[in-house]
Amino acid sequence: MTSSRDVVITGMGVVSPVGCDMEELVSHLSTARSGIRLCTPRGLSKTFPAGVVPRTFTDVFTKLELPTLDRCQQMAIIAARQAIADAGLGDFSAYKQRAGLYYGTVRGGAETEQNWYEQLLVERKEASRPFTIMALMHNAGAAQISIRHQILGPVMTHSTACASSGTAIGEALRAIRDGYIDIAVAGGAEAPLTPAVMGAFDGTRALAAPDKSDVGRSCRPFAKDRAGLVLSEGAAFIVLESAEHARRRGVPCYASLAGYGVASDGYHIASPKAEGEATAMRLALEDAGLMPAEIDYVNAHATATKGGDMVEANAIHMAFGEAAKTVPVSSTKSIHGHLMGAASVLELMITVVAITESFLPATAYLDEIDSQCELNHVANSPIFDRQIERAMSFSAGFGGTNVALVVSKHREMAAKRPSIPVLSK
Amino acid sequence: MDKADILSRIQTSLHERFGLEVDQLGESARLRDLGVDSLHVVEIMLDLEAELGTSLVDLSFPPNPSLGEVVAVIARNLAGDA
Repeated sequence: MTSSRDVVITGMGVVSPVGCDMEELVSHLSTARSGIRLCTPRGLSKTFPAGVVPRTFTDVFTKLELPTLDRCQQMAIIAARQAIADAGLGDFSAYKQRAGLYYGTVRGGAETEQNWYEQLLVERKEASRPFTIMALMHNAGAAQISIRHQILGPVMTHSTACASSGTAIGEALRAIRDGYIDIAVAGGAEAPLTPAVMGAFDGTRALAAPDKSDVGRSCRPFAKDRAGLVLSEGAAFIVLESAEHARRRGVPCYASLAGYGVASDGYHIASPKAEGEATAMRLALEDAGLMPAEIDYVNAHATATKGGDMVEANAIHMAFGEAAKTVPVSSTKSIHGHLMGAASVLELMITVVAITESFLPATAYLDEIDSQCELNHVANSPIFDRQIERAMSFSAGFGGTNVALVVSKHREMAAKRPSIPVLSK
Repeated sequence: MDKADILSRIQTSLHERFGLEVDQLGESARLRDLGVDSLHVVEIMLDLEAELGTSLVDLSFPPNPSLGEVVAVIARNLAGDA
């Protein structure tokens, strides 16, 4: 067992409201173009703004496969396949137990679950179709990727609410550093745009209504007129490996995953606490061996709820001290909404893109900043030609789990950018 | 219902539910070679039970059965010998 502090990101893949590949994602970020559209979940009379992935994936799978695949797992498989191919890999069987899969989701196969309850409660069926449980269980996405790519080591599913894929990535980082595995696929998926999930979130009174002038601007983190969160669907995955392992494979990396901090509020099932959030940020900085002033960009969790954004702004001040006045901060949820189990990984990926493409992604629709969320906001438009050496992505989940991840430019290895064609093994 | 009828119903179900071509679905075709697993078989059996208005009691198939062997088990159930 060899341990290595130096863990790098060598592959990325995405299915999201702002792009179904890395090139499209970069294009959305560089223009701050929203992927939020109107969504009317079947059976509900209400229309919501939502981050919709505007396509179906049933054509990608055979009719033999589809009964086991909820939309959540379909997107997970596709995003993971992209990331794995991007890293120049396909089949991990030669790694035996030294390759892992770390997955995050909040609701798993939500549509399948709702369909079964309809059969149970409306049609009075007493047993489901045979594939139902395989399509609704939370670890189905992880299992499907493991089976398809022969990932035979730890295949773990994290459900820490909206920090799920963040803890998945952080624990993958630790497993590589501690020498248990050499390589990991890590990320998350969510398909929550179902009547049951949307209606349940609507019950919290935390969802935004569609913006009257332009549905695309319904999610406005840190803005004085913010009106609540916007739920989204999608999946995103990264490939992590020790730098030594990547060198041996002869592949370049996007960035180092330099730090992970996890801390829980121990406070309230729904309300966040600044101390817990700040602690996760501090721990991630400490893990990366960095001072707050060395961070060049923070991708915030900010979902555009009244209370949550204020608490997070306060937490950034607590963790960063004086540096909070200068470190650029944005919440890209303004254009992609809240992908729940896939939020943390997507936002980490965006943080990596900020490093590789040398620009600060913006919080769109931030016309008037809430005075209780004072930070150095990247408001409305991205800032280009900005060298970003080190950056943080932060996520917080209902129940109080907070995750901060720090990425940094790798000084020695060949740098990879999303626009570079996939390298073959 | 004779064995030919049962085979024909299974072929139709495998085609309609799972997109398999009927000309692949001869009696000697083995389920594993078709990509059909035990849960696919349960799905087909549910279709058949609904169609026939009966319950198939004994679905113990040999390992990796052929379609002919599946038909034989169903025929035995329908004959009340299961």
